[in-house]
Parts: sequence; C-alpha cells; structure tokens
Amino acid sequence: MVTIRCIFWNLNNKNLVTEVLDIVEYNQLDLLIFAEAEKLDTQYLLSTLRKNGKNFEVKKILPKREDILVIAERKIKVIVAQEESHYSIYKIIENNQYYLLFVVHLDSALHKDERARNARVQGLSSQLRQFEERCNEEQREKILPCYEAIVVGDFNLHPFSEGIVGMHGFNAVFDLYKAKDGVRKYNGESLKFYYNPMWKLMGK
Amino acid sequence: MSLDLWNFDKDILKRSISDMPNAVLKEQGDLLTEKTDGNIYGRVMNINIKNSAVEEIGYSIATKFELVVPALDNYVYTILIMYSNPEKNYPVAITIGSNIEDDTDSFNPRYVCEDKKKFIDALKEILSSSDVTEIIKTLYAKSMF
Repeated sequence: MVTIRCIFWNLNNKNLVTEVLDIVEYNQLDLLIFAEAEKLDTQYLLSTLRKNGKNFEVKKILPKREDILVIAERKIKVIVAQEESHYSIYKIIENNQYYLLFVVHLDSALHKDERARNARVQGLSSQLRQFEERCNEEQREKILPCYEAIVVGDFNLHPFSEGIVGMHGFNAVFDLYKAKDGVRKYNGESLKFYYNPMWKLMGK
Repeated sequence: MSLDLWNFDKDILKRSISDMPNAVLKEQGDLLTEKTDGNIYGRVMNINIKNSAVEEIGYSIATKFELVVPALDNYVYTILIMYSNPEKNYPVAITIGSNIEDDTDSFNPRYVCEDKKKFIDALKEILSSSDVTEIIKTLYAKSMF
C-alpha cells in the first residue's frame, strides 16, 4: 500500500511560504497542491526545503498559468498530463499503483450563482471521466493496472450540491463502502462513485 | 451484379471532404507530426455539446485540436476548439486558450468563419502565431530530454 501525504490549499493570492514550510515539516508532506498560487515564492520554498533535506520540484510543463500549482518530492513519480484554466491533471505512479489526480479550482459564488456552478461541474466531471476512460483503455492494452481517480481542489460548492452528489456531476457519496460498491445505474447508464470524505468534517 | 443507387463514387467522396474543416485540421496535425519527427502530434477530437448549451451557443459539436507529446507520457495541450453543426461545413466558430466548459458558459469565439477561405486564414493566424510557436518549441525541447 502506497502512502503519499499531501495537502491542498487555496492560498488566496498570498505569499504564505512560511506557513507552507511549517506545514510541510510538521506533516512530513510529499505532495503540495495549491490554487491561487501566483504570489507564492516558489524559489524560496524549494531552496529552503532542499536545505532541510527535502528534494521537491514544481510539476508544470507550460508556464502559462499559475493558478494551480503542484509541487512534489522528486522520489514520487508525478507526471503532468494536462493543464487547463480551471483544472489540471496529473498521473501518479508508485509501486505499480496508478492514480489520476484531478486538481480543480472552480468558479466562485461571487461570479456565478449556484445553478450555473452546478451546471458547469456536470460538463467538467464528464470530461474527467472521459479522460480517465482513455487512460484506462491504454492501460488495458498494455496489460497494466487501471488508474484510480482522485479529485481535489476548491470546488466552490457544498458537499451536498447537485454538481457534487448528482449522477451527472461527480456522483460523490459520503459512505466509503457505498463508493466501493462501484457504480450507480440509471436508464441504462452506469457511473462510478467517488467517495467524498468532506462529509466527515460537516458539523465539526 | 449488385444494384448501386448512390450518387457518389468512393474516391470522389474522399477527395470532396479533403477541404472540410475537420480534414484541414487533421492535415495540419499530420504535418506537425512530420515536422517534429513524431515528438509532437496533432489530434482532432469531436465532442457532442449537451442540449442545453446547444441552444445558447448555436453549435452542437466541439472539435478540439490538441497537441500530444508521447515522451511526456502523452501530455495534452489544446490549441483551439472549433464549434460547428453536423449538417453544414460552415460557419464554424473558433475559441483559443479556453475549454468547452468555459465556452458553453460564456461563448466568445475569437473567429467566426463563414467559408473555407476565412477558416484557412484564421487557422494560419493561430498556428503561425508566436504563442503557438513558443509552445511547440517548449514541448519539443522537453520531449527531447
């Protein structure tokens, strides 16, 4: 079983490099995922981590967008697959286990009402499923394990919003065993569940 | 002998579609593969737009023209998205630096091409732009090392 310790943090366009360093050290993190990271002093972060014996690198192919930023320990194989305006996709391969990491930063309620944000998520979740299916087709051809998908980020939606729980949204449930059951079937269509751990934080 | 009631020949059909927008995109994708020795290839992908969005934007098919870099584990970059309707070749609308979710939310195409000439002119402007050239150089360099 692979253990990768990671964090997602929307930095709200602030240079919180000191706080990030503290959190990495305290939690022994391997993977840092940020949104609104344009102001983060990445060079200082990486050089300080290096002085502390941690060899991190920025995972980016094209420098065109700074909103989503992923920084990972070099020992972990993290491959950038796609970089878009509101999401990026990464492949993580460790000990013959394959993961697709979808990082999203969706529209704020300041700019779009909940109906519009939910509608948008339906399109996005479909795109991500199609990407996952294409990757797994390639894996099956190579007789390799299929990818497991993880979605992290700032959804700007509640855990109970239609875009999160709806069948044509992320189809995310709060019960791990229900999610492990596999698929939800409706009208001849089968869609895999996501498990949403955020429900555990509700009411705390 | 079987009865052929169709009014077209197979070869003529193939030649007749060679000037259509999707075929032009595919040709440019193939050229890119050749020019980069296969380190980057162009991919054309058609996606049906959901019904509610079709009414708003006036097009029902989105065609993504993507760069794919095999050496970077099939990293994908979308150069443009072309919107069209299946029953007609033109008009087509082209967005750049966007994605289908953003476009169906707020549709602001950079180009609307009423005919083949306008489409070719728009495509030339996009593919030969300094932005796209720099992206290709970056991806090519990263694929080599």
